[in-house]
Amino acid sequence: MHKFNIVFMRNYLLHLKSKSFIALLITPIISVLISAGIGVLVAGSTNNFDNYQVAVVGDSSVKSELVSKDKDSIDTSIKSESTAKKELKKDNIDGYIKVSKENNQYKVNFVGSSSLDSDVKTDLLAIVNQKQSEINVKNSNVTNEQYKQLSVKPAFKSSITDKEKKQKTDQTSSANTASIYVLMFISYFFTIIYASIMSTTIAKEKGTKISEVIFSSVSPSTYFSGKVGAVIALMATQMVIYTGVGVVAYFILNMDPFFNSLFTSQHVLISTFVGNIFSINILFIFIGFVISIVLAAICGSLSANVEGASKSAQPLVFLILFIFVLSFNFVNNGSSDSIFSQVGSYIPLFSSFLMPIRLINHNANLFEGIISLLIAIFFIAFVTYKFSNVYKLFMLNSEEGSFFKRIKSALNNK
Amino acid sequence: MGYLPEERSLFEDLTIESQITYFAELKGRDKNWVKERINSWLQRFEVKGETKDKIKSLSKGNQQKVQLICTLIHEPKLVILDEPFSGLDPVNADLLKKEIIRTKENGAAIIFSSHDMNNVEELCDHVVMLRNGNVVLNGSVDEIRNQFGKKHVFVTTDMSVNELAALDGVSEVVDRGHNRYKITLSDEEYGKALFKAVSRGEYIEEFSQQPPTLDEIFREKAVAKHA
Repeated sequence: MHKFNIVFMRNYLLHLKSKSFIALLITPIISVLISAGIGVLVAGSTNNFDNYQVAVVGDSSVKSELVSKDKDSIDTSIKSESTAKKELKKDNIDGYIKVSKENNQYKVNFVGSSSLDSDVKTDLLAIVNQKQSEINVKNSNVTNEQYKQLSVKPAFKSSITDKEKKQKTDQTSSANTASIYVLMFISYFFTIIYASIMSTTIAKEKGTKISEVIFSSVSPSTYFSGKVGAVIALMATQMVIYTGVGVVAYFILNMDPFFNSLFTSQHVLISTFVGNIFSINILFIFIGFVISIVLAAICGSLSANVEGASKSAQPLVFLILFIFVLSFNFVNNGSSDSIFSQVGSYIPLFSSFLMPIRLINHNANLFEGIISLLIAIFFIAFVTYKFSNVYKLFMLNSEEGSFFKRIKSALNNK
Repeated sequence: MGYLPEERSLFEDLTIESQITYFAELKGRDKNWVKERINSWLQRFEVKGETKDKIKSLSKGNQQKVQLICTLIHEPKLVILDEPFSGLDPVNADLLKKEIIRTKENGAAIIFSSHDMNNVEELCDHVVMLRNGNVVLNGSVDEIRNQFGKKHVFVTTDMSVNELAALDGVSEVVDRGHNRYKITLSDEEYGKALFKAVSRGEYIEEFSQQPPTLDEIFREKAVAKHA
């Protein structure tokens, strides 16, 4: 255990301090920040474009009521029509509304570079209608009682319970779809990245005498376990950091009124999404990573020489790509519960992609998920045990030739 | 155990200190124990570089020295050295020889492979020569040399090559210049007669009858291999 710790810590710290890991860690965060920044800029420019401003001249009572309702859209500094015309010409306002009253009739004239904003228009017409009604009533000599009767409006009742339910269902469905895609992409990209790190690390020692020196000090199985454990810990570190960054970002953004209302309105979507990610599904992702790392170590040790280190993970990368495309098709075709998907969701590595999809879509229950997970864990234990016993043979074998020829040659040296 | 392979076997991205510490820790030494000794070892081997320098920044010769330190610093009881002098200039080779002898004096058993028989003759107590995986020579340096008889005579004399070659038992005469010759006898028993013939009962500057050197034996065995 002591030597395992030495190998583990040395490799873990070496990876952790490496420039490539720091780049790997911060690149997605920077990408998200840049995307968010672009989003804010676009939103800002859109807001500027949407900053609709009109002037209201003429009847002061209409103007004051309209200002009270559409303060953001009314430029109150403009008092006269001539000023309004000048400002419109300079493009400082989008138009002006002239309200006048002639012969007991309200007249509204809008002059602008584009049509009057629908909200402003609705409010303006409501105000003017009200005032015109008052004049009409006054001129008709009707009593207050008669006026009240004339003012009776139809009753309108709105029940939004079903809509809320539908909204919730829609949000849950969107969250499920989003979480499936997010899980698939996380699985795919991180599996590829960590498989490459692992195989390259192992392959770099292949064909050099470092392995001979190492094996004169520590058993191959301990050394292998330490190296694999270090890369798994590195990956776990990255996951923990991202989770921490996510939580901190959530609380910081939640202090902003805009995001606070967004989080509140999308509460169902967010909680379902987070629930889908941080459940048994994340265990599948983690186990998938571990399987990939172990298989990548095998690929690395079967590299023909140190020059082939960068290509050593290719067989595994192709396999992961195949599983990813297969899973993608199952999701897009809505066939996540087909017989192929069902069988695949119990095969280690395939299960890391397929079982989360089936669980999120309620095609499989938790019990089935646990069975699949246990199969994957058993697979890892079996492969790690078996491989750590032949690791030395693979690392010290200098046979060149095809992938399978190298395996055969290494095992023949037993 | 300390093992030094012929090829470089260091992690180039590690610093000198972390490389030495890592290997020593794998050999069971405590990190602090190693750190206390690193500087004295670096000085002893005259390594050009600081402990925080990366291995890849060192010259090949200095990398070789760091590798030697990795092999020896944990004070192993068994040391295996595979061509330890390759890549070292004569000055550094002498430093290594001193360290090998020091390690031996501290009680370690050293298995040392080399094609340079001068180094073998200088350092080894016991020699095994392998050919195609089979032992062809086995014994102490003296035993092995004496197996081949004291057929070589190094002599300084006024006699000419032809005069020497005409003497009984002389199979070959090599002129080494300045009246110095290397004579090969067909049998070591001819040595006494040769001494009498060359000295004629008077003072003689040089007369040394020796067995063949390990280098010559190696060549002889290698020729036999190729024959």
